[in-house]
Amino acid sequence: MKNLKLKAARAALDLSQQELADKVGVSRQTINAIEKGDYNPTINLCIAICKVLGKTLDELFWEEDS
Amino acid sequence: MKKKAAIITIIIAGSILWVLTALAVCFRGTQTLAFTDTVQEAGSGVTYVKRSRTPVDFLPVGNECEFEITVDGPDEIVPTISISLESSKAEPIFTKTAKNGTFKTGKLNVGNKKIFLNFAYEPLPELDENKDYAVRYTIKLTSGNYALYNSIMLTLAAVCILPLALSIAYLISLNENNKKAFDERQMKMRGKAAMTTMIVVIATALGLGWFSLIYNDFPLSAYECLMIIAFIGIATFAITTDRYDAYMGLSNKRNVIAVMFSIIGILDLVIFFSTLRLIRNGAEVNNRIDSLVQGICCLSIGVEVFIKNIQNKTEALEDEES
Repeated sequence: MKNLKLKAARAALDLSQQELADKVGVSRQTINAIEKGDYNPTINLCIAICKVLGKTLDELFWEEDS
Repeated sequence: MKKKAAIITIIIAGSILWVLTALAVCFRGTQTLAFTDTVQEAGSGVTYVKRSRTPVDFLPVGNECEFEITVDGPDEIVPTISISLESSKAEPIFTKTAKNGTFKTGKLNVGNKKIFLNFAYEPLPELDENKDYAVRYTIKLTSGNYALYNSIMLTLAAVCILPLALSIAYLISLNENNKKAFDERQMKMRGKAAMTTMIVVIATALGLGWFSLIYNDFPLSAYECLMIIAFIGIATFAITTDRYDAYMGLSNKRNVIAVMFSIIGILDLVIFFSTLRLIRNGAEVNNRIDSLVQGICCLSIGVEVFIKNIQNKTEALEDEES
């Protein structure tokens, strides 16, 4: 499932995938894979992304039941 | 440069220098060729059941050289060994009928030409029809010019070692990460690429082994088989890691890597196909299948890196636009 919340939070700070990747110390492809839902990040990476984007884990990674 | 990379550089350079020194001490202008031929009395004469090398030849080694040939086979087989220059069909400059044992040819004037060794077998009455006879030959070629060539090549190789070792250490250091966190997706993908490579390498090795069992005239030597397996393994790992984005270091200077591998691949293919053309024109040239495989592998890596570069740029552009 695509992670549109992450994409939206990144776009709100006007960060590109590469810039976010550089800040959290991973490759751009990893951020791309998370946004596309191709890769489930570890909790460490989730926390690092949340800190950079100023969001909580719930706000970025919690999936609401549809 | 980081401490670890420096240590790796020293270890690699030291190991290669040690191996080169050992080689220089061991060979001293001598090259050795050992192989086994299997023959059979088929009524009309002695014919080959299996030839390990066709033709048995040596590249030019200067004006003078000496052979020491050891024949090891059943007593019923008496081979006649002749040495000719430039072509196996040329007039022999040396001929000897040899029983089991070792003999020396003495100094031969070979005029810096390619040397061919030919083997013929007399149809003796002691031979049993349809029985296989295996004869092992060990041929030692000694030449002053070859020693000089060896020394020059070893010196050149030694000169190339340091930059080579430095480049390897630099490539390794590109992927070092001292940060507490690391890209776990990349770690996972490296494992996946290693598994894919292992499967491909095992399949290639088994496939080659299967072909060598099925075909009596399996054309590849053990060295060629090893080179084919190694190149297919390297190409598979390089391509899969790049497809999975498993190494950050690979993302830099993609165009240079793509061009470099493509040029090596094209050169290998040109060499392979030009030797094919020479063979069609009747020249006796060793056609190396491993250079064809090497060419295809290098070209595949080059093309893949180039395509991946375009895909990455498109993805980054789409991200900027969205």
